[in-house]
Amino acid sequence: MRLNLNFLFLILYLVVGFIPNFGSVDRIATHWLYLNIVSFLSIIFFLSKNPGVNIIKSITSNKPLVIFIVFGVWAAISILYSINITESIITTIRLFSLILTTITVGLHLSQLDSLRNIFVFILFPIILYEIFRPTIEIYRITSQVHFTFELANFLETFTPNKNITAAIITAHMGFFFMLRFYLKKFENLFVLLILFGTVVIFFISARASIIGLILSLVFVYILTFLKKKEKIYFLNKVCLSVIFGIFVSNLYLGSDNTASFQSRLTSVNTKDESTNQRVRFYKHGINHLLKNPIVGIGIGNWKLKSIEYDSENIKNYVVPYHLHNDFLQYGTETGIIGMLLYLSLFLALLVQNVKRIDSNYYLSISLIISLSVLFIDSNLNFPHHRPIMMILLALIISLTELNRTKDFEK
Amino acid sequence: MKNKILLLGLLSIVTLFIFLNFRVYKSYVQQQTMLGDINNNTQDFLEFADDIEVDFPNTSVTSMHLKSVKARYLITSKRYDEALDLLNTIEYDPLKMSMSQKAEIYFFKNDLGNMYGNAKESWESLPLNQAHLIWYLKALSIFNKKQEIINIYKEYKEKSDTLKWIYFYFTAAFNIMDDFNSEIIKEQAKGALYSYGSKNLAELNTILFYIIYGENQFKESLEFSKNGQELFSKNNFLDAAESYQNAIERFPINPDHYYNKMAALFQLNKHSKILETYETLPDSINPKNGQFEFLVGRSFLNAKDTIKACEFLNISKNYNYEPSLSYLKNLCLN
Repeated sequence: MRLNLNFLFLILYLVVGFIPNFGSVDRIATHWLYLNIVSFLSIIFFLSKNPGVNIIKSITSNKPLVIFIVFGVWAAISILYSINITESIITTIRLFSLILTTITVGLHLSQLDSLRNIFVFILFPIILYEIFRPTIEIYRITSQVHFTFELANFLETFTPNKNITAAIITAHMGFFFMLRFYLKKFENLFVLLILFGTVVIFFISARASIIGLILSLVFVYILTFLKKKEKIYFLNKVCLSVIFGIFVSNLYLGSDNTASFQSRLTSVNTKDESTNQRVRFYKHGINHLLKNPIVGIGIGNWKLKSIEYDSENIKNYVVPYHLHNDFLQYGTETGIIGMLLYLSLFLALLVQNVKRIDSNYYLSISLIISLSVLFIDSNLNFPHHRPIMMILLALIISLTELNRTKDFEK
Repeated sequence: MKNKILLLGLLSIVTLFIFLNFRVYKSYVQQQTMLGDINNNTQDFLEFADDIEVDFPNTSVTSMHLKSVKARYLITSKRYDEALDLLNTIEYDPLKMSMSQKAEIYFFKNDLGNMYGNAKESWESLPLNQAHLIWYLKALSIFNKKQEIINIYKEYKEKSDTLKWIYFYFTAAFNIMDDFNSEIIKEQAKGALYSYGSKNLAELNTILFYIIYGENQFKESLEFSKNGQELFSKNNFLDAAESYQNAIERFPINPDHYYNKMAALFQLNKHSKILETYETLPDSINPKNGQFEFLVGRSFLNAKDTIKACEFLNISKNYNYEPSLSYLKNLCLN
């Protein structure tokens, strides 16, 4: 097989989450630098080998990407009124690094004849790794002690945080639909892997991912039922697999286990420290946004401004670094226009994929699930901060454009 | 051609991004050690302090201003003027870490007015921060503002659940105790002992004991306890019991004194005295590990009261004290 450099570049982009710290206190610094280096090489590649498409046209015809660029520009303008200009510049650089990544990933994808190799030879091994690393850990723990919520941190495995691990697995599980399209004879294997994935997510007890998984499946079920009823068979299998996964997890954990589904969902109450904290952060964010609807504090500055709001609760120097809602955080930093632009990016991606369910059912459903999980995670956590999550957004934007312009399932 | 121009433009942008992101990455590598130093109160990065990146980024991953992080090393090296100059260039520091550091510098420079002002502002901005609290309490002590010190605890005791914060407060409070406020501070200390005494922060417990019973009483109780141990080892159980009783009188909240006295009395087979001592042990300080009840149970056995013995051995078993199990098995009916 002749080495396709486009394929190689896509591998380099998509494995960003697995790049080690290299001594950095937070691996995001290493990951952003890595993304820039890959983009640099990628641009050199396109300079030496013309992509054969009008790049400006391919950018301007991609509505979600245009919205993303406008959002980036709006965020960059906030440097002018930022309370800490350096922090704003760093965050803007990261935002534009992502936009650049989205453009180059889109260009590489457009050079490929088919998406088959991307899903089968890049995304499938990644998903397998993501599901099996924590599964092995679950096996290791449960063979020694009874699993409880306190042990869930051991399942973070390939990311620095169990919630990110769960979110990544959940978002990537959507890609099994596209894999089912390309590898129909492995359909039952995919259903089994979804079962494993569900068990992992439930053992991790990440509420945002559990909610994301369930709501995204309900959403695509309704869409399939309304628009493509004849394709519902595989979706039925997926739903049953998820339900069975929930059942198996709960059977092992027991309803009174701190890691059980019931315990975790009922802990979303006023006594739960993490819930209380989030509610407090949201209140601060909403108050700030209402007082400053047009001009925010400058992109990347919430981690400083939040200190003023939460000073009575900050112990030592443990600060509310993120608002735990990306939309609201962008609102506080760039004003309501920035928040709406980021929201409309998700909305535009959703609308385009829903429109294409008739033509490219499996790709559309894959993207809708991943997008929904990312959207829910963006409402409860802070995926905007982590390249491992944001590379997914770049991929969704690029694949959505391909979904809009090409028919894959004829 | 258009593509080439655009790609060249993007290439120059991404080159700039690589340069800037590399600076951020280098700072993050430094922060790995520097933040560890702050968390563990160490100085591992001290010799590299002059190389610390403070401009890009200017804020750590934990939102501290990096000039403050650098100033920490300068202060350690007693380069106070350099540290102060650096801290004065910080434009926006919501954590007010720099003000707390300025308070520290002004203290060493004996500029107490400025020390007080900076310490006050830094503490008011972040009242649950230990470093800010220490410098504010120190400033209040210097200016003899006793009531303000007492009020800090009243206002923030519910919010601060970190033992170190509580410890620093009582250390300051101990130093300002006088005829007017000693009762208030003692009451606060009793409350703290009840709430946090079991959490095993030895220095907190010691300062609370000092406040409640006085330094001399506490030290005397330790002397009597030591004496009791010596007498016990020489099989002089009667005097040992008396020595432990003296320790109890001076410092009645240490359960070890009670247990040791009971053990000495057990050797003398003084059953009623053992029971009496056990009954004077306040429930709030009973460690509930089953040791006391086991001893009482065995004392009842010696007194041939098997029913009562089993009652206490059963309590001991419920506190998971293993030696009680074999006695229960052999002597007591379920």
